[in-house]
Amino acid sequence: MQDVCTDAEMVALIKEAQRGVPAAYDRLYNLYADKIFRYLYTRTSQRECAEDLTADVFVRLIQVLPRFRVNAERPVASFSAWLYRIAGNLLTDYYRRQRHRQHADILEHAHLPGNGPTPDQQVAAAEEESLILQALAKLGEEQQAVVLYRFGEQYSAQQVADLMGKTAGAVKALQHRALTNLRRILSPGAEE
Amino acid sequence: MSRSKQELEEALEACLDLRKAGLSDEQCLLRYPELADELAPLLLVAERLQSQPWPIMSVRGRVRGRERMHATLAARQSRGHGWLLRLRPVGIALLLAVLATGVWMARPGHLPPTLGRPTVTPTGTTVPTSTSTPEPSRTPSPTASVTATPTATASPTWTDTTTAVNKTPAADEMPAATPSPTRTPQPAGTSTEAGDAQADSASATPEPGQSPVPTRVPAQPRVSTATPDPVKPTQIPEDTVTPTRPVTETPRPTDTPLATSTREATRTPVPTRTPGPIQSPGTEEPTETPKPSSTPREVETPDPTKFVVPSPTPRPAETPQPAATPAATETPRERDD
Repeated sequence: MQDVCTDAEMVALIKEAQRGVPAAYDRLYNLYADKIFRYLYTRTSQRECAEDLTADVFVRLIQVLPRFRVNAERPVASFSAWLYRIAGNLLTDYYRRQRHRQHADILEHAHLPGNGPTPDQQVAAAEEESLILQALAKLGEEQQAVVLYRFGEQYSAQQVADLMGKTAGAVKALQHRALTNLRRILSPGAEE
Repeated sequence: MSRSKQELEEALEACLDLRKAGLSDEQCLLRYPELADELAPLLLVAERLQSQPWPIMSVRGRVRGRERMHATLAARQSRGHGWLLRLRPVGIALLLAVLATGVWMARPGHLPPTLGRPTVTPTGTTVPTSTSTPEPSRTPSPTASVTATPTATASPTWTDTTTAVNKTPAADEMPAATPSPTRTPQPAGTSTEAGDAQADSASATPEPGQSPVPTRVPAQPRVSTATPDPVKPTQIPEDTVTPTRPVTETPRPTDTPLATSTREATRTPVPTRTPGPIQSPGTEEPTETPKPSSTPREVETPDPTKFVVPSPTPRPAETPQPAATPAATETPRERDD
């Protein structure tokens, strides 16, 4: 269930959160927890770790939100970008602590989406997810982000550009390169 | 190449949008026949990404994360008050520092002359002609002491005294004593004379206040008797000066009011200067002389009437006379009489 928030709502929500209203933080959590989790999961490939880091992001949010200034022109985009940046910083800290990036056994942690799939379907979905996550893990950070935002979060090229602080043309180029690389990774036999 | 690459990126983006709008991959490729070979595999990967269920948080992880967030929020909000409490000692310390500074600044020595002065009662009798003589005995006020110093001019003191007289004639000290009305007016000049004194004299509101005094003066002859001041200065001027000074006074010159006898009193000496020794009538004080203001008075003294109209200013005019010449002996000691 994608919770949607308009710019005006986002401005009001942020102001409430800055005043310390718990309900406002709840709404922000509902809006962004999964997105942040996916962002972290594609980077860490570890569910537990990604969930912990996601919680860390919201704890950090409470600490720094009072200093956040809303961009009146693009409240949602600016806030989203800011939140992803927090997640990226925490991830960097995490890697620093870990010293080395561990590619965990994705299958073990793969999430099995509900909606009543049969066990076979669930296994197949889990395998597919793991393949894609493995392939994503081999991309650079920016390409990963573009793929996640464009295909995971369904953002438009312009929204991704806003989130990443790039132009739409740059996002399109990144998207092209990312898909080309993924194709190579996912279908090794296929050559251009 | 770069141009075709850019075209490919644009075509890929357009095909993704078309597919989102409901078109199939084939329909999209028909729009870009020249790029179809390159676009087809990319669209397949894109479809695979889009169709795949992206991971979401587990329920347990979601609940845990929310609880942590709320716990942090609650802790932060409660910590807000703790922060204020922590600042309390600092606030108290600042407050104490401010108070201490205020007390220190307010101590007598630091007060501006006007404020700090004890009112001097004008009891003093005046010596008629005498101009300023250094009267040791006088004025309690801080200013007085200042006067003592050579440079320090009595003028300031004078003024003060005068004022005092006006204000609290009976009230404070000497009852009857009405003060030496005469003296009042110290010309501005006087005050100016003494360099340092300026500040003092300035503050002392004398002039305005003085005027009233004169009036009184005539009426009441200052009775020297009234004030038998114990303190006597060393000498007595020739004239009668009976200073009624309250005993207490000490040091400085300033004012002696007029002696009754003489009546002219007005004149009060120009206190200012010279501390020391009593001056004999004829002697002038070199230093002081320059002050016109003081001098004038002496001259004037003779006329009682004049006093009545004391205006601060007038003095100067009167003064034509050389400074302080006649220095009358001053008062202080009057009591001897």
